[in-house]
Amino acid sequence: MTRYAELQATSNFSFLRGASHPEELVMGAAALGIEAVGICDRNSLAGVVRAWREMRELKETGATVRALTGCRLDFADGTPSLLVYPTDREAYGRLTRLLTAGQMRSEKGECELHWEDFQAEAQGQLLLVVPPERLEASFEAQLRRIAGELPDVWLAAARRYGARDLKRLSHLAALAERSGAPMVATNDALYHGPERRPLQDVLTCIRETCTIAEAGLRLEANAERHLKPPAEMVRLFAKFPGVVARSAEIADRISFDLGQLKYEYPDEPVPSGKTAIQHLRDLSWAGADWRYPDGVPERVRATVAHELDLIEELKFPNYFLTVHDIVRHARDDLKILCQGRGSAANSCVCFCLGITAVDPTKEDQDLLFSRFISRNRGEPPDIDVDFEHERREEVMQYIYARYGRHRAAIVATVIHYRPRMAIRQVGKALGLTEDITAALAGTVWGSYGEGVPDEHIRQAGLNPDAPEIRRAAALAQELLGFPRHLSQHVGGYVLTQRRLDETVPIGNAAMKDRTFIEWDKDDIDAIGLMKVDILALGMLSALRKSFALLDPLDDGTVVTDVAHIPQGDKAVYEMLCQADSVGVFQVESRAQMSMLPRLKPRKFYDLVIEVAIVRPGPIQGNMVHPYLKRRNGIEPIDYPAPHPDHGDADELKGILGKTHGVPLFQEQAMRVAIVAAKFTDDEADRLRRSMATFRNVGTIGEHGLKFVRGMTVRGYDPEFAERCFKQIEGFGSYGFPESHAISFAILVYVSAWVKHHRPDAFLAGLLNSQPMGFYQPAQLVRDAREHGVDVRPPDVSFSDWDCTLEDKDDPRERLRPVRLGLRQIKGFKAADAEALMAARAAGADSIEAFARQGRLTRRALELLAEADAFRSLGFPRREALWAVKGLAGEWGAERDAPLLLRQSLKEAQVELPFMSAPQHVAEDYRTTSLSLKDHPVRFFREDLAARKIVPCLVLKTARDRRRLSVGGLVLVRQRPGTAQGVVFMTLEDETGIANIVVWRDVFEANRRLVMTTGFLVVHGQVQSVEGVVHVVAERFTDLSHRLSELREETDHPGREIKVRSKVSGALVRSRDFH
Amino acid sequence: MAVSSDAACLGLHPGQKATDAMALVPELTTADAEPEADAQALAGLVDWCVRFSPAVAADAPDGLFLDISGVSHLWGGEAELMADFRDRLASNGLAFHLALADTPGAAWALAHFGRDGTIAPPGGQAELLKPLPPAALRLDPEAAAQIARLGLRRLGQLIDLPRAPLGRRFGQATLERLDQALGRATEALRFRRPPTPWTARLAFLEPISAPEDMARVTTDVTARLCARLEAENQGARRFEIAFHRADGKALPIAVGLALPGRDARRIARLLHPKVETVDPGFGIECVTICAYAVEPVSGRQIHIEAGLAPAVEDGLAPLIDRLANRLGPERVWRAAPVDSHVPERAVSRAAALGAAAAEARPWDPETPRPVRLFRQPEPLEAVTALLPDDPPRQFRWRGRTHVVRRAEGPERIGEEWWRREIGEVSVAHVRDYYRVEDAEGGRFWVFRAGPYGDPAAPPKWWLHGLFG
Amino acid sequence: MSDFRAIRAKIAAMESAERAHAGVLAFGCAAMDARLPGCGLPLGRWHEITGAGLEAEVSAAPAAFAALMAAPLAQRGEAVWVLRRDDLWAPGLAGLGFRPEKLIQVCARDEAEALAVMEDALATVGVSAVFGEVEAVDLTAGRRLQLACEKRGSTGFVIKRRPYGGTARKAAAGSVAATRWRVASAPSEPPAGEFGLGAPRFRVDLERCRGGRSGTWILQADQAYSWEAGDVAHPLRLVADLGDHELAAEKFAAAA
Repeated sequence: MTRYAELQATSNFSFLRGASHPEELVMGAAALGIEAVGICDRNSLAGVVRAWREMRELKETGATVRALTGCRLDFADGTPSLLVYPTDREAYGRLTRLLTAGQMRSEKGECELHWEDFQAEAQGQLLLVVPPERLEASFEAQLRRIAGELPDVWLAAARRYGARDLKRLSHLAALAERSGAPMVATNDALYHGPERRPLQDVLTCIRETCTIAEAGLRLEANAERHLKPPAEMVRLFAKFPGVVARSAEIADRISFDLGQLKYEYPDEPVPSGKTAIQHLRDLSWAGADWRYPDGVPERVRATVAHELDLIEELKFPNYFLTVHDIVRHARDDLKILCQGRGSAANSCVCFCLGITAVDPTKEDQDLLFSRFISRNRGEPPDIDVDFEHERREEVMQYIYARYGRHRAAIVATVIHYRPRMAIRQVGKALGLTEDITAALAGTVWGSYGEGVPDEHIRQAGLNPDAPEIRRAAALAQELLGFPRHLSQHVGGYVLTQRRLDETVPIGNAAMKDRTFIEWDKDDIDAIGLMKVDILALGMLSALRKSFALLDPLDDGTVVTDVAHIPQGDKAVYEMLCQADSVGVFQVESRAQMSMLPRLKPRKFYDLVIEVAIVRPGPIQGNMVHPYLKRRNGIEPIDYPAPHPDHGDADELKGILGKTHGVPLFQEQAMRVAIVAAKFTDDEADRLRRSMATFRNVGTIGEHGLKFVRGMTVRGYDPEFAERCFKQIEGFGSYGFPESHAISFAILVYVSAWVKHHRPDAFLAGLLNSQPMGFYQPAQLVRDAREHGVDVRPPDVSFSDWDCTLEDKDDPRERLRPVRLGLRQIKGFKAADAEALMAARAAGADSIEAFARQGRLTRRALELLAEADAFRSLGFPRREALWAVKGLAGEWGAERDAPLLLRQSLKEAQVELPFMSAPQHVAEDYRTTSLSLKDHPVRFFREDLAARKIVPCLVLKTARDRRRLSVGGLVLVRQRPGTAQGVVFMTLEDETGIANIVVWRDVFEANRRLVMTTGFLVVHGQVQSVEGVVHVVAERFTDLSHRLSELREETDHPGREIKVRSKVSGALVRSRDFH
Repeated sequence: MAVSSDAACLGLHPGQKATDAMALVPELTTADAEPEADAQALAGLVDWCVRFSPAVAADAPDGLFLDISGVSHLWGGEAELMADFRDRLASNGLAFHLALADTPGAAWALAHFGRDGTIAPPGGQAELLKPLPPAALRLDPEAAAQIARLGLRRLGQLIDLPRAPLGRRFGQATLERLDQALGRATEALRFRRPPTPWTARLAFLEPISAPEDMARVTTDVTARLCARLEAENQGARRFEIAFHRADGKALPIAVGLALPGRDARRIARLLHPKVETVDPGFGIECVTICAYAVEPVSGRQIHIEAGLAPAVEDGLAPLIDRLANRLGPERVWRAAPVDSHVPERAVSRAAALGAAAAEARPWDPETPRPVRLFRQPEPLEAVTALLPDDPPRQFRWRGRTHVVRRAEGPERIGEEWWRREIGEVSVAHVRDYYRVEDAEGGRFWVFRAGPYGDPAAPPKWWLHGLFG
Repeated sequence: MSDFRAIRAKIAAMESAERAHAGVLAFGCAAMDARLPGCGLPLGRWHEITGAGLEAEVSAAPAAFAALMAAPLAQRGEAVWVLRRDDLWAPGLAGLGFRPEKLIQVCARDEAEALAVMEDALATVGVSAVFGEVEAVDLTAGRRLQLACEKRGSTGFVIKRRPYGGTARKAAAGSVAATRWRVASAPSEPPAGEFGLGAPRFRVDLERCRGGRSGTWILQADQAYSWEAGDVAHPLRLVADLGDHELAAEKFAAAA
């Protein structure tokens, strides 16, 4: 039997060329008995780790296929393309250096290479020259030159079922003979199996921006570019003996394996004369003394010592030192709020180092720290650090400055084809009109999904049975999950000791001065490189801004850090139990709000559960209700146990004890797999990862079978086993581990504390950090006012750019009034605010003075006038606008230039029409997205009452199952992927909000209304359970058109003018979460 | 963006997202906006309006001004003119709003914001304008919005304001628009020049009907138009001649040229055979000729002076015109490459003369193709070939057995899967082409449709072409 | 007046120049050219090409041969190919080195129309070669073609082709064609070490030649199916000279 190695396989990381995932190529090769497969993407190594990882995993099953690390180099100077295989680690470093150099001199995603570049890095590389389509005399000269200059050169020859394959091959054979580059058989594969041809054709069309009907010869003539078994290759090359076996001989010469890139962490933070572990020990113990000023408890001491030993054993001290250094710099030098999370962050060491605020030794925080790093997995620890979102850039700059751009870079995020994009591009390639593809794409809610269901196609007014629609839908489905391009990760950094470009190619990002590597986080993990996630969190910005407005605490503490907030405040938990959580981190969403009164968090760990339970994992795993029932004592707490023959009956109690026997966290699910289903650590890890990737639908099933079988043979109830696995499936794509939940819970508590004690400062902090969070300024303001905060409108005489706290009118008041900042005015610029504040400080007290001293532009002044910000100067909105416009020179003068003020002219007094309250409110919404004057719905109250529509307030006391109608502005629409098509909406009127549930069939019947209407009446039934009140929608009435009435003139009621008034969509644009 | 009146009744409006609209009305049909086509249609309408008054001005994107000063008496008055105008527009299926006033500004305002069909009495537009919104002044949208924001919702309010402060705030342009509407200022409209197509006309005192007369007037009218073309160094690719019969019918005939031309004799010769087919009925009163696709051409005399190189317009172009007009244009062509792997689609027929479309790549000479390709491949019988994809060893075609001596292939050509139901696409839908040579040297292009596999239904073999 | 005369003189000069231009098209091999009057295929004349057996109907080898023989002419001007059946395939011509972008194809409705079109095309300035696929050319038609050829010096190629299933008409006696060729495909020979077919070969009988001698040869289209096709002076190369037509026929019979 002849041996064969496919040395020319193109994966879908050669974007829009290859039509198989690297994993599929490796799997396919294994299935066909191909010894080795070389992934050769074009000037890129983006797919090689995936192939390598697949190889490792297949090895577990006994397969022996090798994934060779190679690259196809395409040159800019006419040199024929080369397939390059580094033979050892050094040669590999040369290849990545070469690719880095090529990418750095090119635009994002491009790589410009010249022969000289390669010559310099050619040592240790095996080369296969790819002959061009048309064999001209010049090719022979080039081949001779390459083979003459370099030792290991072959000529790659493929059979593509063209008209004169054999003639071409005999030509190539002669060329090979003459030039001394022996011919070797490849199949130049673009996909693993022939059934991918249509998709590959579509990719070609997308690449060439043409339709399939126009693509013609740009398409492959047949489906032959798939992997073929050795015997078939031998048959195809029967006339050229030896060329097939030669491929395996080449593969034998490659000793390089990606596993050789063992990790090397930077050793910067270690002072000279110390070892890294010494330094880490010193810092940790010093930190322990700082954390526990009254003496370090023995329990902590033991834990820290244990962790340090483990860190030393696994050689991770540099990792912790690096993260510590970044966090320390951010907090101490830059004064930025930050907080770590992630599995390794759960350690006591991290707490002592100040990386996290989680005290892992606290009674109710019995963290599984012994697993904070996996002893077996060989993967590096993982710490994510959140920073204030507005200041993260400073931290990033510090990292570059500290480690240098040659050693620090952002990792890639692989942008995959999502349903909308897939259907749009496939539709275009298949020649569907813009309108049809838009309609098809429009039927997909959000970015995840399962393709395009027939019913949605029908709803878009298209016929799902039409062949062209079916074709588009089927191919789009196939395209899902394909990588589209690489983008930079939001904040994942990879740091190395030696030159990073000798480990992975680095390329330019779209953003100027940004570079990122070709691998994503999973790749980095698999290889074992060190990474730190520098993430941005809006709540941290908001908290720092709120802290700055707080008075010192009773004990005199000036609050500057999360750690300064007193713990265990009962009133704060009480507030959360009431679902009074608008603006509070993580628990402000509808789903969270309806969970709070049911879960009734009374202590910190309850918040951890609260954060984690409203997630796809527990919901899909159907774990929520059992947990609540057990917690509320409705259901007994028991622990499923294996048959006594199979081990400890309490084996699950240890894992699931703190969640009453119900697995809620990713860690628990994995532990269950290991303990109950007897997965190995590696298997459990593979299971976790196979969920996270888009492909491998088949292998998920395998894991599931194994899991359920593993548990049932040990005597577990099959139903329980199924449920556990369902949950793991849910975690896969939306994994939420306990370690993250704990860190988030801290911010939940802290933000709730600030909201409870100082809603004024809380509001200002949130508004000054917009955009962030779930609610819009209008709702935040409304909530603050309900909590007794006096909110005042933006005004030139009092407002800064940011929202500020004003002095109390009465010193006995608990709260200070919040003055909205000029930032609330849409379109107004910070620089204009600065100028205005300076003018005010210099004594400006009239419109003219502001204009002159602030050198404000006409546009800025008009914005202020239209936002009614001159009221304190005695100019209501219309009068202010009239005055502002009167200041200027000719209309049509440059709007954005400062006004050239003329001598003030004596003008005839002009009486402008009276502006009604509804008009003011409408204008407030238009200019600042909120109105402090009134709520728009109030103006319709009489009308609504006449229609028997009740105010939202009524819901608070409405009995269960009552039928009623409520109406209001639509604030939020949500269709969580886990809710099986249910849509949640939030309506707001002048009395409060109403939470609406729209079941799937009602939604489908009222799709447009639900999706687009701004002012809606819902007729339905009250559902009140455990203090959570919903209205289950049955019918809707659209009142959007009424909103335009607000703007109508009311001073001449007799002469209604409604000529061509455009229906305004909505006063508020709802936030829609899909 | 626009919606039809039916769509408007269903609640659709311009500015709506297509998907929202479709969610509302699933059976909605949409078409992409074509601003250029709209502009063209408007220009066409403007030209058509010349029948009412020579002074017509387009008001893009969807309006037009018609200056009827001094012409309305022809209809018996303004109201009658408007009624006639309305009837004719309506019979063309157009939707419209009409208004008539002293000034273009007032007419525009009334047509857009007033009642359809308003006729403002002379000097009386101010009262009619007062209730209209400021937008009726054709203001810059931003100025209009700000005026509205001041609470000034009606022109009446604006008219009552002191002029100077208003002008200061909203500019001279606003005042000017106001004055134009009220008739205080004049407005110069840009009237469209009457169309000057290349056309010529001969009318006869007595209707003619004799064939030789018709041939003669054809020559004459052609000569008249060609003289004009010649004078301006123009040529045309298409000539249409129309015989207007006494009964009001017009009988058009047309000829096309491969290259723009203006040789009256040549063109008339091309027309004559067709003129013979025209039925003059009770006689022809008038004949018109129009030239289309007019473009500049250089004078032909230069070529004789220039020497030997024959110019296309001297030889080839007249030849092709003769052939195309005699055999029909579809029988004269040049083969042009089409980007397709499927042999029978690889050739299209291009115009015999004219710029070659450089779109497709030329045929690859390295891929041997036969000189004769059968429109219908012919079945082969008694084919013997080795599995899975060896060339045939012998076959019978048209009753003769050919023993294959040499062969090349297979060249595998997959189906154009996008022409098939996606569920029926299969990698087995291929043709394997072989170039084979028999013992006598005959070279054949044969293919096997589909692979071997199903013993019950062995694949069929076909002959598709001959290399010679 | 004098201007007029000058132009007229120029035109006359041009016309005579064209006639002188007509000349011959040499095959580039002495063995063949020697048998042709003026050492090459006479231009400004028309030639007749026939096939034998099935080829009389499908006429592939005659068409390929005609295209190869006339390829150099098609470089000089336009070519017109008059068909009765639309089965001439441009990609095949391109592979032989005949540039299809220089070829105008005309599909005539009947024999008479085909001949009329040929005649018209031959008489047209700028047309260097005209092919016509017709069943027969009678004496009158032949003369008309000849006159048309002489007008501009264009060269005609009549490919005699029988309608499918039709019976052979008796060849019209006394053709005025300059030459008459009988063409058949001949077995190819690929170079050593190559697989598949060699370059196309034809067995060509020059049956009649005014002012020359008949002969039989094996010719090969060396550059066919390569990017170089059409770049050479003449695409056909002599592979074997089988001598006089009659002699060759005897040899052939003896061999068989």
